[in-house]
Amino acid sequence: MHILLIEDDLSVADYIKKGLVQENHIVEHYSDGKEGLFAATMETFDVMIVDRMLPNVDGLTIIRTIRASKITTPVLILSAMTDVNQRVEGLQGGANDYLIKPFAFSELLARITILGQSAIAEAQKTQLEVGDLTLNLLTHQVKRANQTIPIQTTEYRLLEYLMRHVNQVVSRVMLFEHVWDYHFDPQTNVIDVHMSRLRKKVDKPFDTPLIHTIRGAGYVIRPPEKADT
Amino acid sequence: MLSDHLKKLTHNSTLRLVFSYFVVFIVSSLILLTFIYWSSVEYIYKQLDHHIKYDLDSLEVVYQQEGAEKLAQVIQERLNQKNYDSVYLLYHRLKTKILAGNLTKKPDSLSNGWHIVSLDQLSGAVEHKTHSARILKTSLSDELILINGLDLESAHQQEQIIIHSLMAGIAIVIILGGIGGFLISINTIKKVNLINHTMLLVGGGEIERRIPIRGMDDDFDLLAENFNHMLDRLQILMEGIQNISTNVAHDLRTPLTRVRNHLEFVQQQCDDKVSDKVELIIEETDSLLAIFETILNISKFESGVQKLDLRTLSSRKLLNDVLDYNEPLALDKSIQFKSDLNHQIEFVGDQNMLFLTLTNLMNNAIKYTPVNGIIEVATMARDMSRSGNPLNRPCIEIVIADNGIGIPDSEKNKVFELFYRSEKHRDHQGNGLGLSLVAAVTHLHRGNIELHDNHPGLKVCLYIPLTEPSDLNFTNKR
Repeated sequence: MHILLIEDDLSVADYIKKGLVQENHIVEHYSDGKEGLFAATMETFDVMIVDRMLPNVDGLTIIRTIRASKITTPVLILSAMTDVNQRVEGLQGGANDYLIKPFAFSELLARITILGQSAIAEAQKTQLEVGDLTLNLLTHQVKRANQTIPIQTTEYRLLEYLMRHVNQVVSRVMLFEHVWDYHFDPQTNVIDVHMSRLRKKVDKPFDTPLIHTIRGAGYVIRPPEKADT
Repeated sequence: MLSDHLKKLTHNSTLRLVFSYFVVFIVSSLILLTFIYWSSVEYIYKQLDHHIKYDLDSLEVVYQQEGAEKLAQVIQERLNQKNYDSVYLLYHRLKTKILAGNLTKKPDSLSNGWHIVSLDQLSGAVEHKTHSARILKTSLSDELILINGLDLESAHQQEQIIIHSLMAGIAIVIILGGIGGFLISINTIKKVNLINHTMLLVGGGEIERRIPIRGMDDDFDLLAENFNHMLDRLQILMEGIQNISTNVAHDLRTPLTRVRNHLEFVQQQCDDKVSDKVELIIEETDSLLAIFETILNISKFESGVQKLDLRTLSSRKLLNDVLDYNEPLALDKSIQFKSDLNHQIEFVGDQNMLFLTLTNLMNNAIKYTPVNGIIEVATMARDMSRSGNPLNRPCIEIVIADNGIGIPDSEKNKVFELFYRSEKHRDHQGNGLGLSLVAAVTHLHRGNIELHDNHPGLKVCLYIPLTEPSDLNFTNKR
């Protein structure tokens, strides 16, 4: 992906850049708000990572400006640890996601990967499929190898989120935010317990597991032929 | 409501003091006025007696110098002057005929000396306004008896006037004293309440609040100034400590995150065996980061730096979300949830913070409840203004009761302290921060938390005011 990074803290920028390049992304970095905004309006990017506090033009203004000029590129705001209200402000300003510093790199990577692809795969579907697992978005019925799997509401929502982002790593916080719609880092292993219950139903009775734990990062669902790559 | 108000008033020390002074004031005024009454009345009667004696003396002189005939004549003359206040009787002890005077009957039974007699007994036809008189009976010779005296009418009238004026005096004293006392106490109560109210706000976390100085330069202003000075010092000290702890946690968090990220990169580049080891280190780093995050959160909540994202919340949705989120933990231990969430209560709060708080409480309950145990969750609306609770306003009460190992009474207050862990809980995993966080969030909501014995187990009662109290500024600023 072609990623724009506007961040004035050079050590943070450096290490985001290093990490993203290692994941085969192309990163363009600006440490000044004005320069960053100029780049954002002149070039096309897949994802933008914008710091909240920037010299000359602040992050929120950048987002508002590019949204006003009809640029729909997904934006993730980075912010120093502050209150919840800033998060709401950022999302209302047109940002697509929000991450509080300091963050685990895997969390950032998971989020921008999903941001970059959600723009592409926003098609209206009635059924999600991963390998022989199907999830009907209308009837909420989950089937694997043509067997109906009895599933609870919470488990359904976890599975739906995973299946909507097939092959993409989703972090525990992302699952918590999307399934329960609360916004903070719960810092418990409760998500893991939910996931293990889900996996007991979806994976355990079958030969090949579809849901995988990604160490230090979260979970991913992928079809069996890709499981060993 | 009224009785509550009265009860509250009787607990007011200023009002009590003023009331006791008022009682003492009235009692001393009564004693003083009684004394005035008593001495004035005595003076009136002494004057009366003095007048009668003087009259007698002049009549005795007439008798001694000019005899009984002349005396009778003088008496008659005096009566003719229509001095109705005076009563006279001159008579011969052995003869029936009265020599002079306006009395008709001879009071033979009376001894010589002073008497108060009813005029009814001594006169029939004589016109008198009252029915008693002060008289002096004297024997002028062996045979001749003189009675002279004064009608008590005017003395009685004077006495009445004195009584009336003294009563009016007492009434004025009571009314003025009452009004004065009331005004003084209201004024003092107002001043004390102002200090009290500010202290309450400061205690509630608004350390930047100060008592208004009224510029009267009195002892209340001095008290307020001293309090404000103390608060200034406290605020500086607190901010210093908070900055240090926040900075330490923050400064350690950033490099630790960096360490974690480096470990992640390392993990991707090594074989499975080493990767497992690295995974363990990453997990340890994560739990350390979680502790820092919690310390920072507690410090933010306690200092009031964290603004609450206040919304109207539905008790049923919030509690159902919390139960749903924590259910698998309970299912793993075959713990049963019994919830009574039928009351739909709307209240104002920060849903994320309350979710965090309730999840913390649920985690504790699950952690300390044995396998196959029961955890009961209930919500109800409670008017705390009637129950003597310090919250004093309508609240939602959220009860989480387990039948686990509980907390001994001696430790119920300590468990809210940072890093405190009960001896009983040492076998279980934990960092002693959960309940501190719960307490911080609860206090930020101006709520209250109580721990009770559930025989066995722990019953946690969380009270959150239904509405945002208008007197408190929720969006605290630094």
